[in-house]
Amino acid sequence: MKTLAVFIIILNISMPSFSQKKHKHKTRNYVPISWYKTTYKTPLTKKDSLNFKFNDQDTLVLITNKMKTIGTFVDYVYKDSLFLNEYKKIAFNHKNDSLDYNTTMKYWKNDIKLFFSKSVSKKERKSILSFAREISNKVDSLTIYEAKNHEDSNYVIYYTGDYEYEQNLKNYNRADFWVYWNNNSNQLYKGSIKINNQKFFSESLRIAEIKKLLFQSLGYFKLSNNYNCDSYFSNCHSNNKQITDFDYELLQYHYCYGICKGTSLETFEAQHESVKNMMKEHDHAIHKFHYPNY
Amino acid sequence: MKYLIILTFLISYNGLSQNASENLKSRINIDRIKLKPTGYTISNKDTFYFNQQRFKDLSSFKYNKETLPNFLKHYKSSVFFNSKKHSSRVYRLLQWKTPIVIYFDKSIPKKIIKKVKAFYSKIEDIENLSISYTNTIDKANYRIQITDETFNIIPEEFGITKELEKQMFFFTNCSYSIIKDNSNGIVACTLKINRKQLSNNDNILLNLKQGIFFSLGRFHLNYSLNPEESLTSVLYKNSDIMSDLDSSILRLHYYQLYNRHIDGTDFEQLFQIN
Repeated sequence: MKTLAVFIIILNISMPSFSQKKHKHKTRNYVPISWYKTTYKTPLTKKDSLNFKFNDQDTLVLITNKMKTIGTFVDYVYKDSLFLNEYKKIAFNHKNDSLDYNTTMKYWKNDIKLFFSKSVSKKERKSILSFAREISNKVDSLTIYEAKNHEDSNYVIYYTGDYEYEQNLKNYNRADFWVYWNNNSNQLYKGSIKINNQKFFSESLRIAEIKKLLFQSLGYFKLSNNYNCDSYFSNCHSNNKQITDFDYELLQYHYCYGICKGTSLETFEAQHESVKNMMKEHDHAIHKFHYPNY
Repeated sequence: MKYLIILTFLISYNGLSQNASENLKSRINIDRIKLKPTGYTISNKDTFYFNQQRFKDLSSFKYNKETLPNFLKHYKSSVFFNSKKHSSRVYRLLQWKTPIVIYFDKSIPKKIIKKVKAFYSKIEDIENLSISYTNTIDKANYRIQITDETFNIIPEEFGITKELEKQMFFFTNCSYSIIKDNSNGIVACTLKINRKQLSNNDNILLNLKQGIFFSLGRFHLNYSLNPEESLTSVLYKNSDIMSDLDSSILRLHYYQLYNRHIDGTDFEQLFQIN
């Protein structure tokens, strides 16, 4: 189902008091009517309509506390505009480099289970898995590990001359990756890396290339010319490629649930603008994402 | 899996945990303060910046204009094949941005290897170009391979008809293949030479010198040059010393490293930066 981003406004009204008694809070939770209809089974009544509120063009329905607690709340992760500008360039990989607000970000929802073909040496496998472990340990919601059998995997790494695991890479004679995503959720669910081990003639060249492609495929990222070549988000090759602080910050942000996942660039920008405006208007505010079925 | 994402605003009047005014403080962009020749990124809680590369003005490049009056013409022909941004086929500048480590096939005679090394020692002082050698293939990013493959690619326009010239012509018995990154940096190279060239020391030395030179920037052959002038000549005449033209081509080519695509039009504009 298409990902929806909806706002709930929870008004938390406290009564100022000068006594030492604990403050009493009265909270009223509202959701947009369209969201109410798709989420709750309880039909709307006349009484509900009396409590409607209107926010811009949305009709908001008052919900009970019990309704509100379904699912998980995750803090909105604030990032400044400088960071978000860089993030957008990388996470929204536009077709033919042509800016399109319908372009979506892609991410792996399920664990990545790597299967290595027999041609991949033990040393290469070990190095890739160590790289994968490092990422898994530092990035929440992203786990990469080895699958011993091809049928248990969702990501294959193989060389030219091996069984052609990915037909779309059949005519690639250097090195590349291929990933699939679900069109509705933009979740990546299958990937492959193919390396021409004649052109990448040494283990060190192959290891470096596989790491680069694997990293890029973690979000079908668009690499940039603007970063130091050591960064995995950089377009250029380096003998000293490493996951820089910036790389981690961006990857962690991509995989944190404090932003809407799998959205289009248009939605992404609208949401951030809306939250930031709200933050400017209200000095003290908590902003959370709610995942009802998470 | 079905899921909905809801953004919740919890607005209170008695001050809850997140302080918006603190959060909205942008990190400092100090792009204009520190200037480095290549893009650079630092990111932490307080700072985040990257530099757009600022190119050197190529008019500051020094070469001998008296002895090499047509140097820039030769350079553009070798690098861009005289193409510009809107040419039907655009050739862009390719560079090695990491040190080159060459591995020679074991069947190449040691004395030939020694001569090749001596020849290329002349360019050791070029700042952004480094060539070293290894006996371990896994440490190499440049492989010189003796092969049974045949090549024999002689474009008609070169007008090579004599058998001796055919044998001297690089692409009769050799080929090289480079792997490049997305910023036109060369990641690795394989230079292949047909096995029969091993029977003639002069030929294999010629092939090695010329092949290595081509692959330092995917330099194109230049058929307007006389044989003795350059390694990019169609019929290069062997010499123990690299010509001024060739070393100048390399010096200009590696005068700076470019972190983006540079075509013939971009290149000309680099002479008018200041």
